[in-house]
Amino acid sequence: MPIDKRFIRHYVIIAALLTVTGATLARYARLAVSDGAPRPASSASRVVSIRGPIYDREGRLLAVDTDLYDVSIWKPSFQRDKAASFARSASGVLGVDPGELEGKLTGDGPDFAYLARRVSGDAAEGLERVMRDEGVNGVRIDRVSGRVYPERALAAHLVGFVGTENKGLSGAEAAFDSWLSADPEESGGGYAYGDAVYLTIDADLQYRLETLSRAVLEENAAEGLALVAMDAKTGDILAYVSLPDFDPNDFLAVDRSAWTDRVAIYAYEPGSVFKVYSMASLMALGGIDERSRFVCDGRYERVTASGEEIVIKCLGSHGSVDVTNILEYSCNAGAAYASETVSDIDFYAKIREFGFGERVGADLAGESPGLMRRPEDWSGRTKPTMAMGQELLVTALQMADAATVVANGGVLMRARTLGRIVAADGEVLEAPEPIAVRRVMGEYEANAILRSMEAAVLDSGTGRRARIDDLRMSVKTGTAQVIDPATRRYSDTDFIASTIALFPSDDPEYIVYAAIFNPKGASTYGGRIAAPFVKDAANAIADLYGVARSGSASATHGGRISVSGVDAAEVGDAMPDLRGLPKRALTGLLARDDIIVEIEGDGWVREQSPAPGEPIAAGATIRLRLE
Amino acid sequence: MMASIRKLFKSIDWTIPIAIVILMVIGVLFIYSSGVTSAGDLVSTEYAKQIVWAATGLALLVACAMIDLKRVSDYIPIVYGLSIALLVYTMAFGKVVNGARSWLGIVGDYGIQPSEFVKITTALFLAHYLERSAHESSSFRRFALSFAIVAVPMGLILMQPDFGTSLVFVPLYLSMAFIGGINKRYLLSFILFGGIGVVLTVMPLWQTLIAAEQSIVLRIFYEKPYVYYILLMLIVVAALALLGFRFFKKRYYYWLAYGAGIGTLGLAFSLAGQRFLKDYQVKRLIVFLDPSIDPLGSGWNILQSITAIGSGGVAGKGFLQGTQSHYRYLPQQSTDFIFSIISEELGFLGGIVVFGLFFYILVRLALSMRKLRDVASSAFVAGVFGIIFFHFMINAGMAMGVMPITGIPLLFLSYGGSSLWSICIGVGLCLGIGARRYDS
Repeated sequence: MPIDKRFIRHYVIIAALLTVTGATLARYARLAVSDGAPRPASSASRVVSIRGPIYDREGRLLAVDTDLYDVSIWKPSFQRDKAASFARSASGVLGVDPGELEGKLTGDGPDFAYLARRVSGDAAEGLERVMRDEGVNGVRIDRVSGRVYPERALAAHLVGFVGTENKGLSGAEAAFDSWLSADPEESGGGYAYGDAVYLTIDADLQYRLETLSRAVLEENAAEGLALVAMDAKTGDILAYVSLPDFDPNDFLAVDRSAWTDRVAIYAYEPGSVFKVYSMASLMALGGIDERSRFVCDGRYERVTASGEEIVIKCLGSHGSVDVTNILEYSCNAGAAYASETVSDIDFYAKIREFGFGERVGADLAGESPGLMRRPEDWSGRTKPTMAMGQELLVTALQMADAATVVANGGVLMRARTLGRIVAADGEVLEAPEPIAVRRVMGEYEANAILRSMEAAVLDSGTGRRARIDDLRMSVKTGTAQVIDPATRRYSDTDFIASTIALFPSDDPEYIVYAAIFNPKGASTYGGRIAAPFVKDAANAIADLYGVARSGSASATHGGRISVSGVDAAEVGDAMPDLRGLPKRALTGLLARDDIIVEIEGDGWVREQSPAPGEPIAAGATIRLRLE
Repeated sequence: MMASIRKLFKSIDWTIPIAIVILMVIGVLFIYSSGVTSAGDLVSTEYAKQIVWAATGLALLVACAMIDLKRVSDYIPIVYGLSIALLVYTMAFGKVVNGARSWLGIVGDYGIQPSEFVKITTALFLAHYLERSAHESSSFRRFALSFAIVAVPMGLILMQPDFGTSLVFVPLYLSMAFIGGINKRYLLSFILFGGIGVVLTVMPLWQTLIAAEQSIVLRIFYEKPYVYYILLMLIVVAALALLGFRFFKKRYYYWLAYGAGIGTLGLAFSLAGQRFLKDYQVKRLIVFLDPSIDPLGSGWNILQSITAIGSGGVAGKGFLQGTQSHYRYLPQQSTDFIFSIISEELGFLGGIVVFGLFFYILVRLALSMRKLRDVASSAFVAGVFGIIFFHFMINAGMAMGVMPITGIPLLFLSYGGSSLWSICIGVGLCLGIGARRYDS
């Protein structure tokens, strides 16, 4: 058939129509008819997702999902004329402003809107009543799971918090979000459960140390505070205190600065506590040994090859000092002279081995690596200054973790916050073993540093205020200078007072590190304010975990204890005060023939008649109400 | 007078209005269905309004069939000018609905969407121009001017911003220009340029969101600075090829310049697109390729619509028995996603009926073009054909997850007065054109 040239364009149009229609129809048939059509998870049957709980090491609950309710409005179904009266009655139940509520009910914008989110079951019930009374349509109450933190601010920075979609935003909630969040697709319908996360912290210890910390923060009018308690052998973080803190149930209520994690994220110049690690590095490198001595005449002086004169002042003239003296007196000049025994690059590499300048990897949502400049960027002052703990940035977590080197005969343990992860059915999914990161120094040198640190609690030492008479501790204190961001020089008023303690000294089991940021109280010295704080913390740990105290008479007994019985109630001439006595104690009275005793209820005596002190005659009636 | 009207009525192709009436009835039924909640309460009176729109629309259709376009052709440029002015007025004083300043309030809740009517006036004026310029010597000038006629309203609507409605002008132009005899090479360039531009615009997001493996080679087309090198290279190639063609007159150079020129324009267009479109807008355009990348956001509508179609099966769940719609999982069910409700409740067979009716209307319009003797008439019919075809394919394709979500209604079925009226006017004018085809 010859094609009429005039109509070629018309044929093209019809061909296009046929092709596109045919293709669309084929797709349509595949969707509608075949079973293999992609069907998303049925949206009509909703799966309730329950986020996994967070526990401490003993299984004490730190975060849990509970039922809350979202209230929403579908405007096309809602009777607008009832908006005003409904808003008035509902606002009281929901605790929101009636005007605002009415605005949401009648305002422009999408047909669907939330009136209130995450309200309690009581509020939801009340609202249902209001809806019934008012006879409104289109208001919908949906059960959602909401996160509740029963211990409130306890370890808030470590536990973290979730957003409105129950997604972890910070802390363990964010770090383990993929474990904690429930996967609705996996469950057969109904409920989907997330996995439970057990942290290494001990809620009991955490509470005691937080209480102590709050007192210290207030007493010293400090800007912030960090405290880390860890198990020296395993690297388990036992307490993780960062102040100021917040209540994760209402994390928006506080100033955002309170969200700052002072343990793992806040980085600062550590000050003299760092001498432990600088001296340990020098010893590990063979630059110094226990017998090396340096002369401190109150200042460190050196002229570099380029003619630059470097002077660092010491706090005193300490004379001839060895490693122990340097740590005991916190002698700056001694530390600086000691640092000359090794090269920049060796010193840098060894300090890196302690974990500075890199993230610890303690299973946290966020960690700062601190800051260590590379040796090629160092000035002539850098090495001696770094030996005193300035010119580098560290986190409290790094400071505590590095102490495991000294505590474990030279081996660095990785700090950990994750104990284990357990599925909803009880299966243990993850149970990480302690991780030995690397050997940083020999056992002999590590023990030598540990012994030297013990000297700090002597009367002549800077850490004397940390001394516990019946517990051997290895301690180092420090008062770091802080750069004033305005002047870019060390501030005259801002300091960081810190102290580290390892105990018991003969084989340390626990490490406590505390840093008080910008104290504005009577003193700003680490030895004065941080040392007694660490002492209290160490005492709390020793009491809680039963650390053997040398010299103290540890109580021994046969393992049998007796509990004294309850005193039986007796009634003489006058009516005694029976209130608070258990029911068991009243049996004697019932056996008496001369008085009548009427007992109502169970438990303990709550009310009595006659009143205490009134005379009792034979044949009198005593009425007791128990609860 | 009466006699001529009787004669006209006899020559009108009444099967088209009949198909339209059936579609309107289905539309009203399912707009009613979309207003029923799971509890069985009717919460919307849209269906009643739609009956009014449909009845008046039909009256308009018949009235427009009476109009003899040839007699009023002098007024067509004025009508076009007025409608453009109305668009501008809307942009300044219109009401914002769904984020676009596209409505003019008339009385109370009632209003019109001028952009819907501009489609028809633009088609009229373009047809008018194509007729007048049929003997224009410069084919490029004809292409450029005809394109400008469409580009003005399209740009204004894009600024409202109503992306979906402005897109309709593309098939409107292509079908009219094609039938109106615009040089095929220009049209092909236009399609290639637009195609390359769109593909390159969505490429970065497509690569990150949907592609299983990111292709490194493709990255040079959108990652700075490589994309600038590519652009520069294309420009240089095009310039050299032009020079080559100028001096050596070889076809080879001509096609090289043509290809490089299109490539340059397409790439430049994509750079502009990436600058002006927000990520979420692009995402909405490509999410149909894989709705699961954002199942609760942009992909929600598609997933729910596909679920509705799938759950309808062959025979459907029965009128008012659909769960996707009455439990309100489907958004915009009375407008953009009415096809999904029809599919859920009437099943594949019901969908086929809708398909068949549209197909019938389109085929009748396409066939009627052949009998028309002047360019203006056939081009105008082609324009209306393009509008209906595009609306139907995009809307049904969107419900099936094979077309991007652009939010344009299913003509004759979706709730809404402006789109219904405008298409009734368009079809009415086409019927009139067809009925007068033998008048001299």
